[in-house]
Amino acid sequence: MPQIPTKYYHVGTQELFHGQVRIKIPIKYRLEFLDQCFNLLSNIDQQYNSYRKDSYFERINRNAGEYVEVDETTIWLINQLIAISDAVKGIYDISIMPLLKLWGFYSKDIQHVPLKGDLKRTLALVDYSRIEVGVNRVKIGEDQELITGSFIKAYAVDRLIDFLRGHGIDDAIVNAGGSTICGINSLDNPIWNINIPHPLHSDEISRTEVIKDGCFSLSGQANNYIEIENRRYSHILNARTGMPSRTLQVGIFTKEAFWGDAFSTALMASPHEDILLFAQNLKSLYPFTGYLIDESLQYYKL
Amino acid sequence: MRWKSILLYGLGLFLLLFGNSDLWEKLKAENTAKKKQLDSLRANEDAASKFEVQKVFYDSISGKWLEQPPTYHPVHIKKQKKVVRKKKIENKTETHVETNQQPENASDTH
Repeated sequence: MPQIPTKYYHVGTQELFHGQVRIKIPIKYRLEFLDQCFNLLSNIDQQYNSYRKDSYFERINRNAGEYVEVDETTIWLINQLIAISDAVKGIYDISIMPLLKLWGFYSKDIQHVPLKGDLKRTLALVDYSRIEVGVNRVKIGEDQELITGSFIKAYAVDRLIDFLRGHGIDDAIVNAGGSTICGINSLDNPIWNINIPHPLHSDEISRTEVIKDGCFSLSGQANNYIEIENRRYSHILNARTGMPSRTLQVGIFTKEAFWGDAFSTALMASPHEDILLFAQNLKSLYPFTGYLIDESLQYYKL
Repeated sequence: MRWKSILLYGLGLFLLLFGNSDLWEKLKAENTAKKKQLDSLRANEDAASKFEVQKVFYDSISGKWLEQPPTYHPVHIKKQKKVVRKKKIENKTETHVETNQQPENASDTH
């Protein structure tokens, strides 16, 4: 195997999208350029993150039941996400927020698994087909709420990669929270190595994967879970049943992170018997490769 | 008889000293060359002892000249990153220098 020459890079780190974002660019570029990169990510966060006051998605949620004027990007994002939901028969759904709240993923005092009646009532609110998309406006049901967590960070990373390429940078890597990693490669640095964590023990590296001018998206439950009565429940829920995923880890390789992040969440939420069919459906939307590790630690190629 | 011996001794001495004048000149030149060589060696020794020679190495990372060549140690790559230099460009952005040999850590944290 040919030896890759050692190159030096500036690495900038900032807290964004509820996690650490690392941007690595060749050392010949000025440090101040990293600030421009983080500003770009921050602007997208402000404009589209459903948790940000006055973002497009926050306004849609705040005005649930009424049409809200939005920009082209919001329309494009929602249309793609609806197509992904169709491909996995609604198991992935951006209107899943009421269900996440019911399970208590955003509160500290989780006492019990949701009662059947509560689950049924909440599931009725989770329905992406009730999202109405016009030319420049969007409306959700009165009791609905959208969440951008499964895709907005990846969308921002894609725009950052475009920005870097636009400035002639042909060698860089962006790591957003560890679950969204995108690299650009040059002849003197043809690949980027990625350490993949063990599906149950996040502090152990299980193997190393490689990306080349592409992205890697990871969904798992080694870190993101709640424990109720000594049982671990994944934070990724099946939007049709309301139950947490039993899959341990899904890794997806794509050219653009937006698709990879949404696909890894969708396949993570899917029941095992449907995964191969859903993977085929998703590949017809956007090409990808990947893997899945089930609850018995079996590894499957997607 | 005594005068004869004295005469012969004097003749022998004369021939020894002046009969082969080249030998005498050679001995004198050899002595002078040896003395010069010795003086030159002493002068070099004196000159050399006045200077201390030290090797220095340029570290392109820190931009400094170092007495020892810069060394890089392999680090445990799990959750750590080798930090060669830390600097802040804005309050929010932490920066440091890394190489392309350090893999990125994937995580399902977020």
